Amino acid sequence: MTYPDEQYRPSRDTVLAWLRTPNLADLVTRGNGFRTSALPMVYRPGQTGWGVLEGHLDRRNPQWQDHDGTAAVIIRGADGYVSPRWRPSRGDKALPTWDFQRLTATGRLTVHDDEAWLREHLDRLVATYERSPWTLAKVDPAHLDALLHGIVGVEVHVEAVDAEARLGQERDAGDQVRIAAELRADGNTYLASEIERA
Amino acid sequence: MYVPDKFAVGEERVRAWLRDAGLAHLVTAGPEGLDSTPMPFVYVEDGDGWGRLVGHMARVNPQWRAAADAADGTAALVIVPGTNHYVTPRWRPSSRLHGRAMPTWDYEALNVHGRLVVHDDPAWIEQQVRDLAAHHEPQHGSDWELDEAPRPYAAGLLRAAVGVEVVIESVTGKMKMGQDRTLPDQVEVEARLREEGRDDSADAVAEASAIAEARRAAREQRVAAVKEFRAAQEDQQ
Repeated sequence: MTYPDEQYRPSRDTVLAWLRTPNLADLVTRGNGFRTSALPMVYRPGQTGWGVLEGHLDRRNPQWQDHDGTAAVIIRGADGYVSPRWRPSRGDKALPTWDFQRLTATGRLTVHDDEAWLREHLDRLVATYERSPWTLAKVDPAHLDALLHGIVGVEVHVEAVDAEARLGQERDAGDQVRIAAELRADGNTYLASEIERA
Repeated sequence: MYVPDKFAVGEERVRAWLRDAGLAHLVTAGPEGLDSTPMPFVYVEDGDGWGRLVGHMARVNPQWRAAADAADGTAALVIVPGTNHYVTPRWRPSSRLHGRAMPTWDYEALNVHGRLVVHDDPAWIEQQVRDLAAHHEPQHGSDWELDEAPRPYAAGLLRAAVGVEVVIESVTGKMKMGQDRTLPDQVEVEARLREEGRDDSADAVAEASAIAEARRAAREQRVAAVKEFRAAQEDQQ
């Protein structure tokens, strides 16, 4: 049996869409124990393979110096508890479950302690994340220089993507409608709409 | 996790956070690199230390195998996500007044370090599932419990799971919610988040503002006390 099961594996296009969507990521590395940082990352597709996820860290964060050259990036998705009471078609044959989307990208980690790289990286980050027409040109140049000295760039060359969308693809259609309604009533509109699209 | 003092979170708040945790990511080092699985945990506070995080995963998931083979488990990390949001410079008077603001992402994060221990034991797994349901069902207005499911049906599903437990060695909490922004910036960021319906985020920013203001007031008090002391010394001389 393969893990995760085929029906829960998102298509390559769905994975690419997740990678491109602005979101907070967790960069996990191993050096003297596990190290993590939460950071926004920019996805750059490659000519072949999966391409690159790039971000930046505070220079005082030891993670960029203490690692074994590999990294995992965990990208969050929708998630929520699903009560057996929300599955009327199952009668008493249902157990609680937790629906989720997950994506872990693993690969080689490189560090860019390089002001020119960082300036280009920040431009790409702003272009990806900022919905208004605001650009770095609006920043006081002395302030920007000081900030650039305080950060270092990190880049994960993605070699493998492990993704799973467990959104009740195996569940009865009527149950799915009920579950989405219950999640919406709970305020979890994110998972409700992902279940409706699954 | 790198945590500057201004973003540190105290033990009581960390414990409350672990009790309320939803889906968390269990990370271990596998034969082909880092493995991670999202799962809900129940936080058990026992003994003198931090206690344990207790959960279960699918038996077909290979992540638990290495820990089951090791005498004292394997090193594990649990990342507990928290509230987070993007902050545009457009929301900050500092940007409009003098261009001294950058976009940023505010977040809360919790890292739990410990040993992963496997419980391939039907009674243990059943109790774990009962505890999870007892924790989560009431939060959704339900009183469902495992005994409502037919015994053979439930036993069949439970056989497809293995129990996992992270015996906690250390926990680091971080709340990066603009403690380093000016008060006018914080007031506007909070208001904009509330306009967008993101009350959890707005509440976290308000909490961070209160913490930062209290620290600022305490610092000013210390400075005033030092000045007073020096002035008194000069008077004596």
